[in-house]
Amino acid sequence: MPWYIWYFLQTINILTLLYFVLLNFIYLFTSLIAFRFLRKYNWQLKSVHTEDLLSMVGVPPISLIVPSYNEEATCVQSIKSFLNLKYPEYEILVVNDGSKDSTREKLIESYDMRLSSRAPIASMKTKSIRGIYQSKRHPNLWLIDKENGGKADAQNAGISFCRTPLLCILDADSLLDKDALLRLVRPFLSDKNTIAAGGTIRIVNDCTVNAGVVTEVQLPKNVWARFQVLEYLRAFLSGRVGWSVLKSMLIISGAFGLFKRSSIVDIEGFYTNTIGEDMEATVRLHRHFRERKIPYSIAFVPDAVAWTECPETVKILGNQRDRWQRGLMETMFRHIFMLFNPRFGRIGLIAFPYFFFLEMLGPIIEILGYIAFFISLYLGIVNTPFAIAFLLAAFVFGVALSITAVGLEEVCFRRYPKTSDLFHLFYLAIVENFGYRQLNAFWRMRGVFSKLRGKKGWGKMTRKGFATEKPK
Amino acid sequence: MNIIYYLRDWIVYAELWNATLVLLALSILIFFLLSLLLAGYTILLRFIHIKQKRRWEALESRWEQSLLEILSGGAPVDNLHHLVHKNERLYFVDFLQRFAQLLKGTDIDTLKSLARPYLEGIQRRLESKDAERRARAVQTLGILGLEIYADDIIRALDDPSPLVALVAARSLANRNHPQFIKPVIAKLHRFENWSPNYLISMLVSVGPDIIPDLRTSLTDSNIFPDVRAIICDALRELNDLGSADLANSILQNPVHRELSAACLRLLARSGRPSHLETIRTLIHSQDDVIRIQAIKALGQLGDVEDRKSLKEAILDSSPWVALQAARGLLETGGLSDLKAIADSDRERSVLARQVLAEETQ
Repeated sequence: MPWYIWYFLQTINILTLLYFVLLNFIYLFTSLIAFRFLRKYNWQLKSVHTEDLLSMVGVPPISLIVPSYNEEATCVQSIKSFLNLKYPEYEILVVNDGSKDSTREKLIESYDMRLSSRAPIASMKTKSIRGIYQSKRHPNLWLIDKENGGKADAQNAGISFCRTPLLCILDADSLLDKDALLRLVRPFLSDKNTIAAGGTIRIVNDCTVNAGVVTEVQLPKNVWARFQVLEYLRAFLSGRVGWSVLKSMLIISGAFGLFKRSSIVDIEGFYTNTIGEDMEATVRLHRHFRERKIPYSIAFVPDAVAWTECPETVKILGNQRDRWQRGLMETMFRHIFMLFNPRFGRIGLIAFPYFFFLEMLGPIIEILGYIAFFISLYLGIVNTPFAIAFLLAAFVFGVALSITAVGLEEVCFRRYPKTSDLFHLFYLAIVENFGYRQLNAFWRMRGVFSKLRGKKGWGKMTRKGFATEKPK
Repeated sequence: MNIIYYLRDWIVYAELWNATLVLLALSILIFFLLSLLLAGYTILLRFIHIKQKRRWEALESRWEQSLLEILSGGAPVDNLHHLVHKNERLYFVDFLQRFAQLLKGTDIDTLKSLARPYLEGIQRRLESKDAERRARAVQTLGILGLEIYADDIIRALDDPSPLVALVAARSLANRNHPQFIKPVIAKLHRFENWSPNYLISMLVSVGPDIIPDLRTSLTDSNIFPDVRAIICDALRELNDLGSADLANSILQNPVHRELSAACLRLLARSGRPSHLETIRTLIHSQDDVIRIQAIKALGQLGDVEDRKSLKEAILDSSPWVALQAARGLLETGGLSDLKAIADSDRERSVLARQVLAEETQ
């Protein structure tokens, strides 16, 4: 065997090992921080009465901005959920982004909407507005009908018409817990420097929904959706809570995020030329405030919950992960100036490098690692005991981290009331290591190639709608 | 060169791999044990929660019936004390606290008398090193024993933890005991990081009895202007007509943006035509925030003479000023002027149409 191939394979093996150790160390670190925080938070929650906030005279009004594109299957239910929220003063701005299906017609018909006048307050450049409708039955419900310009363009259109101090960005296929807004607004009350706060996203597939409210939580029947339940628990309870405690949150999810209107207007809204507009906007907020040395805070509220429908087929799930990877790469390269830049403090020195090297380059290292590893094993470069130990370590680390996430859920929230669901989550923590994890790495690797090929757009997401409670 | 050869040999002749193998084996063992422990802990937690829930339900059902009898006057207070065992005292206080949040009037006094024998245990928790625990103790004492433990709660306003101090302030801001608000007002600056809206709401919850104290603080130039702005907004929310003159005099010599804006908001709600002169001087302020509030106040208090200024302000560079001006024009009887703008193809015609549409709702 030529010496350079030998060195190449060994370099990849060592790189994979380093990546693997570092990634798991950071996951473990954020999980431990999250554990400590959530235990304390659980105590705090016991003394928080969201009803108190309802009676507050000065609780800041909120605009919910709901960009909608071909959402005919879920939009009416979602809006119903938004109309039933417990919050003293809010309005809903649904932005129909030139849907090709009957989203607009369904909303107009279901909510008795009529053409109305409303002037934009901020001057965001967006695709042209075709009409503005207001519901006769619910005066706080508006429909902004515009030409198709993408999700970020629709969000910007909503921001232009927003006239409340806070705005909440939501997905049209999401449902909110009744008190989700009351919970999400808390960081804005306890710290006047708060400019954004994100909530937890949970999977609604096969949960029972009644009048836009999730009434019974259970694990989905579809196996791909089940894996995603575990993934979301890991991402939100271990990941985002941990990064939030470190004051280094780089993502406020576009499915449920609350922003100070003036801050989002200051950064000129969401960037339209990316598919990861939520992460890009969060990074840009960090950059904007740090460059100007303005004190600010971006918070995560784990008990504020939005429910979303997740993909149930391999194809759609693969497309989603491909898109997430492209979004991540776009944000990382757009703000690469922040990488290891001490001017941006812990964002430039810790959070950004983590996302750049471990999240963005992770799938490349992982897939190359798998290939190099098996070739090395075949050629006898790596000995068999080492190979077994490495695979076993990868498996045990993965299981430990997933079980930690399930444990965090149990410490604080216990949203899956059946004990059998708990055991099933443990089972998933084990089996996801045999295929699902590798498939995920493959999809993300495909995302890297898609990005390099210059692929744009979202791909298709089919919605089946929410499982509604049967009349008793 | 020796180092390079050494490193090469280290990699080639497997010392690196052997060392890594040992490390991997160790970490597998650690993570395997960790996984088992975590899984066990999670299952244990689940069973503890189930057991706690059952215990709580059993305790509640044991106490609830007696409590309802006591509240309806059908049984003496002692009846319930007999049902509280020594190790259930904290549960019992928690139970009463939850009830207290649902009840009003004399029922609350009954709950307080039921809780009284157990509150000393809660008071001891004020010395705890854990801020969360202290905060919870202050909250409980505030709900079930404010009259007896007021001094402790007032002392908690100086607690090193801002959370404890704020819970103390919330407890002292009590509609039935307006006398406790003075120390809260004196410590408002401690809560500078909290949203002003939250603090305003806290003050307003005490009701109109605190108006004299708030007025005194509003005019006290030794108090931080940010705090005075909060006090001014609280007076506005309490619809205090008498403080309009105070706000007007503060605006004669405006020194602080938030305070001036709060004074203008107060004038918009409670002002009189005699305050118009002051307001008119501020409608051309360079500061958007002041201009918005001045135009809003002018719209509320202004007369026919002010329509010209309001019409001009509709073309202001700030859409917020324009919106307030359009609403003000309508308030001052300028409907035809606003309709003319709405029917034109001028810059703010959509805004004018919006305000006209709001009027018809």
